Amino acid sequence: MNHKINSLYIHIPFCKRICPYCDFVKFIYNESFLNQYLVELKKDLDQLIQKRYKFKTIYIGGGTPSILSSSQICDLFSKITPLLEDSYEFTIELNPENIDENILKTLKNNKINRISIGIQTFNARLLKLIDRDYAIDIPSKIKLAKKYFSNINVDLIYGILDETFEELKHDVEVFLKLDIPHISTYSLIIDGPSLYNIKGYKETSDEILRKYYDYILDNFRKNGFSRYEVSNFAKPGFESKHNITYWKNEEYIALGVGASGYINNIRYKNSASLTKYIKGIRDGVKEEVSQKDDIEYFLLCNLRLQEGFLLETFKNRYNIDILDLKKSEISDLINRNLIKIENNRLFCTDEGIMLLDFVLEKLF
Amino acid sequence: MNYDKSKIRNFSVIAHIDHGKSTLCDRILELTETIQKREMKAQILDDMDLERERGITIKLNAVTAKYKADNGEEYIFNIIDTPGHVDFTYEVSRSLAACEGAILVVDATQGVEAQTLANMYLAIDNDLTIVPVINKIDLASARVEMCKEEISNRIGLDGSSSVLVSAKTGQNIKEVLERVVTDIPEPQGSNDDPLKALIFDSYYDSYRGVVVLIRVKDGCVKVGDTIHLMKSNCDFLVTELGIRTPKELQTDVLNCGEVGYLCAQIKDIKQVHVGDTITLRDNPALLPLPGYKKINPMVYCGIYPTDSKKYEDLKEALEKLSLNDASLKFEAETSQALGFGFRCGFLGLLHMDVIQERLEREYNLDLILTAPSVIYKINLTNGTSIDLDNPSKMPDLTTIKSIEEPYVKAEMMMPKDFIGTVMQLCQDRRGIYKNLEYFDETRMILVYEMPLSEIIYNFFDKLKSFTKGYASLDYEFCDYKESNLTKMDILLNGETIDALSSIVYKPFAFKRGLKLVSKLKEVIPKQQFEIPVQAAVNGKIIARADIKAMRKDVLAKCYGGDITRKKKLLEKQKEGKKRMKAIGSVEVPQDAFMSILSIDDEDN
Repeated sequence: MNHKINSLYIHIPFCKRICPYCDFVKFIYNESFLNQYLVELKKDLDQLIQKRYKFKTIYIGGGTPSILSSSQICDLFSKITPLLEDSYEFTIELNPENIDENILKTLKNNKINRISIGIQTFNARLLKLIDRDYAIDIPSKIKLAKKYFSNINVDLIYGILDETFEELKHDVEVFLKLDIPHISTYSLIIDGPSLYNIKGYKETSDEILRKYYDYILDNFRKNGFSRYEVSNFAKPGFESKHNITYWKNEEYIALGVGASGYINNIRYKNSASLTKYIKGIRDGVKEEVSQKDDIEYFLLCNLRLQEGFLLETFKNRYNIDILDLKKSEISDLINRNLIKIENNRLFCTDEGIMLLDFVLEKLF
Repeated sequence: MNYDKSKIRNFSVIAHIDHGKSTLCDRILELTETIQKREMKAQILDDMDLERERGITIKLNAVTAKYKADNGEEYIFNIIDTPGHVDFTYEVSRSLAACEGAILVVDATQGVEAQTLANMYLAIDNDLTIVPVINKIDLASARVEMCKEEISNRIGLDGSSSVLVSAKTGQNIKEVLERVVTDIPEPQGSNDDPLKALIFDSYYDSYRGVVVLIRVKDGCVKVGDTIHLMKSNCDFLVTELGIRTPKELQTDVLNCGEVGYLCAQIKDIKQVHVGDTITLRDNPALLPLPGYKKINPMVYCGIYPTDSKKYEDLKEALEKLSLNDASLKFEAETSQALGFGFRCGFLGLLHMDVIQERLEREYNLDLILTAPSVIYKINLTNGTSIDLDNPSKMPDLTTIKSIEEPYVKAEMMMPKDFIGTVMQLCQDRRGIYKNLEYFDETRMILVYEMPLSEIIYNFFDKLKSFTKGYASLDYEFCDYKESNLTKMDILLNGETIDALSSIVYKPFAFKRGLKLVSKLKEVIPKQQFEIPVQAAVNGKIIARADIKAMRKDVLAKCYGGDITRKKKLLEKQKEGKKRMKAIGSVEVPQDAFMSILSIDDEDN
């Protein structure tokens, strides 16, 4: 038996259409490739089963995992559910257009207990801009999903190209009406191999993004959400356990093309080549993490959390007190009102979270 | 080695950058078997890494080689290398003065260039016999006939007598050596006359003190002699003499016409001036050799460690560098903004660049350099005058009667089509038109007298961009002239930053102030709070720009796969900020201090 690893990520890299801002590893949906891919994925899952892994959280992301048919889901999940502990969080990402009674039932029957819906925006004009299906009645899809699941996340993107403040306010209002316990909200990032980046589109200015973000933060807090991570809001008890694994800098296994994992002091990224993967070749990039690197990873992850980290946790992990290690930097950041130490926790202030990169550069 | 003056040939190699001087020298050393091929690092004469990387020669060097000529006689060749940049014209002239001849290397694909010409004038000035060599004839784009014509028309040598070579392949190198034997005269002078030896280079050796490279012009010098340095007016006992092959080979005597090195327990390189004459204390020459010039730094700047704890390291590094570089001057200074550092004097901007790079690379220092400044002569109302090398130290305006600034004579060569734009550039830079003449059918030489401060203020880059890279520039100091100058201060967050003060031509102050504050706004990263950047002249604000407050600096999305990428990004940013200096609560990158050099006067 291996040492305890709590989380598993599974990547389904196929999409019916490619979002122009997406920079994840993805391929246009192709039935034959998908089937071969699933065969290989099951082989990897079999290995984990053989090694008797048990996970507290499993997350199926994409791509678009919801393009899987009911039979594909049942078949694939027969290799996943044995990996779940008794108490677990099992999440899958869904696109609104794939939501129907059939898939929801299938997922429910296959132990899924959390769904994440990529809404992005309710605004038809903006949906068109990001090349999403804008003809769907999203609120009724959400209503349907709520019949089966209570633990639901939706993704909201703000600052889409020329989105106005009025448009944003409207999105926030519609969202709050849905009464969903979790929201991830991102500004549109134009980076990597995405169509927008290739076309040279520019991100909205930091001033505007900050204004939009502050509006979201205010209104969500007023409605009982806490911002427990830079981009994630939850009602009490609905925080994503899986993602917290990442943000606490804890280990996780990743399966599938282009997926990244972290085990035994090694951060790895599987090769992005689909053909290699379906030929059974598993290679990619590995980075052995030194103590200095790990401290930086630790800070970069943990400081994203509103609660930061316990000084004790740091000390136990690295045998050194961060207050000694980064004495002058920490006092400078406290003076700047960007971080705080309270109840033996080091964490960012609200301002500090918005300037987290600045904070981290000081601490690196 | 038996001494026979008639078998000695002292020569230099003159070429434009990249025309193949160093490669040619390497081939000569190979052919004379001075160095075995396998010991050769490419281009042995350029022995500093930096030089090799930049393809330029900074430090002079000399090598002695034996050559068995076709006539059956053995000859001694002393090859004296010259540095190839406008900052070092004087050194070039002194090393040429140590020779009787020069090989002129012309790139067959490029033809005669302005810099080649400048050095040729120096060679002709020193009465050297020139052997023209056309290099790179192996290249498809070689235009040998054109080069021959250019050598005849522009330099006035017989181009048809050029030796056609490829230093790269070694083709015809032997012919060059034969021509050295037949064309270049043997040294003049006699061992019987009182000693006159020309110092053309020196370097510091921690065991032997200063090692002086000399050319004996008259008389001879022996180990045990007491020598007298005529300009420095000091005496030393000769402890070691030798030649460099390039390995050092000790001898008891250096005879008339020979080139070699001399050690005399000289501790301070500042006592050894290039161009000075060595004679004997007890049998001195009446007059020194002609041509000596005291060279002074033309450009000054402040050098500060980014990390103030590194002050001592910087001091030590400067001391070490100056052991080998008599023209590098430095003295401690304090800046309110930058803390403890040094005001350093350089021959020119290239010299400054080289020193900066060596400090950073060889001594692993992170530095902040302030914008370079020339030396202003401040005439005070009380009748005295001071030399000002640091704009922030300018005395109170009410005590100043007038300010003078150094002017240089700038010679620019370019295709004639660009003359109009370049003249406009020179006028804009307060140039005084002196001359314009044809160099050949297509190129012209333009001569202006210009304030040196305008030259160091990105003039060369402008000149290059205005002429699509075709223009060349050569300048030398001419004199000091009174100018309408004033000090411009820069305020960050309401505080004057002494290291950003500069001296400007009054009528330009407003425009430069505006450009400078907007440039600073660009290069100084956003801080937590809004920071006003202001330019002030005589206490009056003339321009302002605000650096907006940093509002958002965090990547929204960060999951499994993003984490590694994110960390790499942060590391890169952190690396970029290493050279930032915290001034109060404002972090100022090193670029900011140089931004006055890169602002663009011409655009609007």
